[in-house]
Amino acid sequence: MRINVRQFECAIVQYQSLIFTICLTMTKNYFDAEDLAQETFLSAYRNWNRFDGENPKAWLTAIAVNKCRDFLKSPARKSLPLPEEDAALLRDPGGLPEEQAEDRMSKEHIRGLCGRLKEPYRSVAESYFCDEKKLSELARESGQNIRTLETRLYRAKKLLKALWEEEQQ
Amino acid sequence: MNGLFLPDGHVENQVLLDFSEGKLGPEEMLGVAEHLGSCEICAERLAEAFDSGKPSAPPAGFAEEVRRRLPQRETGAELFLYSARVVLAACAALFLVFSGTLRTLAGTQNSYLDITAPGFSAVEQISSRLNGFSQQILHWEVFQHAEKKK
Ligand SMILES: [Zn+2]
Repeated sequence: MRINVRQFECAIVQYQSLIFTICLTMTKNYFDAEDLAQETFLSAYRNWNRFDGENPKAWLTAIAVNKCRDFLKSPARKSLPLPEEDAALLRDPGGLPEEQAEDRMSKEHIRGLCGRLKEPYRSVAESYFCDEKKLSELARESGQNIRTLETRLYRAKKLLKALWEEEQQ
Repeated sequence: MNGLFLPDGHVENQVLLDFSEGKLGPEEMLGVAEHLGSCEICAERLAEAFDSGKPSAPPAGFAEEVRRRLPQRETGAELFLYSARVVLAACAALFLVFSGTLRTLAGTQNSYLDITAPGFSAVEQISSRLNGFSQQILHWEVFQHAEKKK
């Protein structure tokens, strides 16, 4: 039996929270988790011909665990210190002593981190991570090219991953 | 890795629960993960352990980003093995999630009703419906547009 891409998308909708939660639990980094969850589905898509069709949930779970394990073992994952060109895209945290966030997964905390980015990265990160906007919606509303937004989001994620790690130290 | 595995080589129940709650130390987690990555039985048990906890939802734009990153030539064409049962369940879930928006945006309830008669042909029906729908409703038209421009 064959599946078309829409059906694959159904699987994303059904299992995205499970897969994201696994990645979050393993990496303890919200932004790395988002990336690895995406990688999980992309890898599932590429390797679907190796899947026996029996248990997509277990299959996706195993892929996610493998992705996170590879990531955690990889020495290259430490994004610190940021290269100068990236650090230049961050705003000064300001004079106030930073409060230790009680719940690092909270929207407030994530918004706080997005607020550390300079424009145009801050607004795309806030829309995507805090305001639950899809990039296509943002493109439509702002009249900006979606590829441009995508590039900005990619850059923003790199910075946010590093900020998250920095906090943890 | 003592105490993590059962005599038959699978992971202890309590260890899977601890894993799902983020309570394992880094070494233990990686040790268990090595087994989970290659054992579908334990992977399923882990998924169940996660199901009993509190899930975290990814950002709303997550699925759209995955979609955008799929290899582009294959999209919309033929793909892969799957089980009809799962597809139905997943599409039903999709409909539940989006039905509110769907009806408003599509201006019709027909497709929503189709899903009440599951069966093999319903899968095809739903999937062809989704073909039309996703472009219209799930806001992927921007993506399509961008693709054409390339
Ligand atoms: Zn096992």
